[in-house]
Amino acid sequence: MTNRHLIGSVALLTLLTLATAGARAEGEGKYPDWGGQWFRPSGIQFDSTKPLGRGQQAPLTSEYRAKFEAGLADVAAGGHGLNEHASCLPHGMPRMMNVIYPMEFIVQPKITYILFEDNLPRRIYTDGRSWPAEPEPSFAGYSIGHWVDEAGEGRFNLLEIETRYMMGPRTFEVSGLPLHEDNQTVVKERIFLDKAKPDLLYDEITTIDHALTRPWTVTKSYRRERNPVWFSNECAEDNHHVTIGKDDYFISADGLLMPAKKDQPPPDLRYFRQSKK
Amino acid sequence: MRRRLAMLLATGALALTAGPTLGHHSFAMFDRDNQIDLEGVVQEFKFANPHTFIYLAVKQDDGSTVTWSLEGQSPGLLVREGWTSRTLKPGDELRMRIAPLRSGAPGGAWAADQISFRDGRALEVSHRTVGFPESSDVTR
Repeated sequence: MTNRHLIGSVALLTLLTLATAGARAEGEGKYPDWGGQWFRPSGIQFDSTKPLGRGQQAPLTSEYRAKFEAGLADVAAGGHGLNEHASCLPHGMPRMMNVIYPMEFIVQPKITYILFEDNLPRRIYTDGRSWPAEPEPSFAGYSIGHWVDEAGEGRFNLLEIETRYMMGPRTFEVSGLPLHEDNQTVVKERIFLDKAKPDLLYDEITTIDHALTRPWTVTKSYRRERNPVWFSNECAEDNHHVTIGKDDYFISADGLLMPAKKDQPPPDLRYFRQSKK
Repeated sequence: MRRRLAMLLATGALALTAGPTLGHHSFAMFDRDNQIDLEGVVQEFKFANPHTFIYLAVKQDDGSTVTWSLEGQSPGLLVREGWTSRTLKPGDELRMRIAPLRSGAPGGAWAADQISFRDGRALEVSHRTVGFPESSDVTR
């Protein structure tokens, strides 16, 4: 056997070992079967039992209710309001759990990954670690989880997660329902399968945030597709929505800026040399 | 090709159902309450993220042509309804009912159930993806 073949064989063996280890964690032994592809049931709102926007009845502080209303007024005029994802900023937590496009769980003993078609993965550490001393914030935040065997049957059924150290700006949903600019959000989740319907998953999400007058708990549900086909959704690929300063514009077929709002002026071009007419 | 710009009243007959959605941005910049009909030729069908686009060349009454930039659902959503990047091709002649940009510029949003070939052929795809996205409703 040549060195090249030997290296190839070792690499293949390593991959197979890792794959087998992953398969063992998923649905076998102590861990629940969360395999497959998980879709939101309907709607893109945060609390799927209520309408988007004001209909969410989020317990916003007066300050953040005013910010939200100002954002809605901008949306009504044709802008994007507080929803900065229009320019492809990541959703961040907890909005990414709205699962606009489906998600996948990769359960390993020391870490659980949640993969999305349109977001970077979430990593939930379940290795017993403590919070890092000086974490760098990210949109998805830093998540520590604990598996729970509620029935004491020797098999975990519940993953409890706490997520901190998020960066912003973030909103709960496309309407621009805001989280606080201080980014001190703490998100607590309880993820578990329905006891009678194994293709139904719940995520009970409690958001603690200074834009809210009290912790806000929403239970989301997802349905499983066991024979998934996956696609990617790279927001930056061909986004036609451009924000310059605080104004939103639309890209034309020939790649130029068009106004999005009625009677919208062009952007401030003070840094461009102005031609004399 | 004749451009039809029949301003349509926002009647109950035009009330579109809330279908599959776009979580990327609000569709408020598109005027769903004053939809218009367009007929034109596909210059390009961009089956790209975050949302698909149809560039539709629409002939004006004076003989000139304006290219409309028309935003649709995401590829990941349409492909699950049977669409592919080859469902529409340059040269295809379409009839579309769109929600135009509020600014009056030649842009808008299209919905999969509001589009047909000009010669009457049906699109060979599922029409479960009906209506404009419910993200249009964020201010209501």
